Amino acid sequence: MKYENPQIPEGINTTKEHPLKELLVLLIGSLLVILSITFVVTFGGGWLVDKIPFSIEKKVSNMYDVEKHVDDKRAPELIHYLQGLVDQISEAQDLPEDIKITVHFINSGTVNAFATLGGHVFVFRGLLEKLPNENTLVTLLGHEIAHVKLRHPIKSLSAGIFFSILTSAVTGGTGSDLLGSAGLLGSLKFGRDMEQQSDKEAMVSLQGMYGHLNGGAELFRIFQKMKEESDIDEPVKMFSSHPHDEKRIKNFQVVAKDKGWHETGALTPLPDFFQHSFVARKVN
Amino acid sequence: MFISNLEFTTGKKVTKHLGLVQGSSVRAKHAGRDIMASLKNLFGGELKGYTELLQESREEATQRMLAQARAVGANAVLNVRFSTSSIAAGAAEIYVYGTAVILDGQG
Amino acid sequence: MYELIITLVLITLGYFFGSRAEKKHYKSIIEREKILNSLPVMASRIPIVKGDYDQILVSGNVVIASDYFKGFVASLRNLFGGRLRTYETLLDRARREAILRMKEQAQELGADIIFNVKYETSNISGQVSSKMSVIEVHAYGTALKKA
Repeated sequence: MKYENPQIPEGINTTKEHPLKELLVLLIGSLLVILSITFVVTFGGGWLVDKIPFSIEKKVSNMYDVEKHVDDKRAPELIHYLQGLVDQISEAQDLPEDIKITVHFINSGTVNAFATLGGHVFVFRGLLEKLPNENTLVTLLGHEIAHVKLRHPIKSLSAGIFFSILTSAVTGGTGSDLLGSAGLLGSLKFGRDMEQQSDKEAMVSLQGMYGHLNGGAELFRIFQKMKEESDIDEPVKMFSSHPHDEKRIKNFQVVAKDKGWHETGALTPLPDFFQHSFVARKVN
Repeated sequence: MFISNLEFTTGKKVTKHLGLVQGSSVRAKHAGRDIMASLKNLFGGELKGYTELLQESREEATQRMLAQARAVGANAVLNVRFSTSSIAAGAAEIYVYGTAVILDGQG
Repeated sequence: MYELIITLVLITLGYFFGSRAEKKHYKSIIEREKILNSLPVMASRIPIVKGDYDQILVSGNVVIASDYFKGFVASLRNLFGGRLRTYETLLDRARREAILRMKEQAQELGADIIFNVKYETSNISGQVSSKMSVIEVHAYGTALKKA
């Protein structure tokens, strides 16, 4: 029997196309996908989230033991005082009836405060120590409460989950820490316009409670000063996602002028225990 | 022992068929090899350690199959097939099977 | 941010080293294929040669890894679907290398022809992250040698 062994030409089972060209096409494609998803999530998602009742948000947040991470029990006096302010602010902001704010204290030097799912607002000792008067404290709390009122935590959470699903699809991750990477318990990142909306609500609270805005802009000056003093490594987390402080102060003045609200007025001092210690001393 | 992946031989006659014999070997790559492999993985190319590992593993599976064949009194295994499956993270099973037969005029 | 930079560096390194290795490998495959061309390999089950031949089982295997660049392009491609071009060359190289090793073994034994060639391809990525695939190709067949 006859047989021959001819040479088979190259490139029949492989594609002769430069791999970098494919990479470029794919990168542009995925960029377009991400952009269109961002568009849908920011515009469509926000609308959809408004339809989720707060009770569901509360249920999700109840899966986590908030008490374990906070020092509320060690500072009963402070919590009582803060909760009182929070209730007043809730009234001033005209919070829907089903939304209930719970304030928590964390005994740590970090200069930060944040709001998360289920109406939980966390304030760190480091930030409380820097506040000059009650008006500034109300601005801070009003800002965080506004996040809850405007449903910012759940909005950024749903966007966060969506993006982590997308990234795990691209990187081939298991997706087991989806909720973790979306930052369910940690401070959620809010967009710039979310922060601006919340600033406005904080002013509404100030005006409602004191009849003027004095002391409000002080909050941003604290941040600004902190930023100037601190190194990059300092735990001044709150600033990174927030609009430029100078701009926030200006915005404050613009809104005040617009609404005809006064920027001067008597400041209310903070209660005495702010001078000593937030944490109640142990009684032997 | 005569071993072939054809189902017959070119010269000798099969006098008796003794059924299926098989050998298997499950081996894990050890961590050191895995680390080297993941380094190599960045740049692509052959992973020599793994090539050798699977070769040894295949050798072992074949020896086991031959041991089975010997046990049933065969002197050849015909129509041999290999199969490889990744059964767990970092472990692969090599499976080899064939028909045990007695050939004419073989030791 | 750091993650992004690391990924970019890995992709670039993967591309340069990977495509260099691939070019080198192809060159060596083509060269060796020419040398071993005199030894015919058939997929047919029944030998076309008649006469008294010794039958020897011969095999060749190779484990080959994709580089980071290939893995990255493939994972992007997974979003859209379609042909995974970067993996085509990987599998092509592995199959041809395995056959070459089998042929080299047969030639050392002084065989004249190889019959009933079977391939096995398996993914043995295991613990190595899913971004990178590690495949093994095993080729085996019956070599015939004039008795």
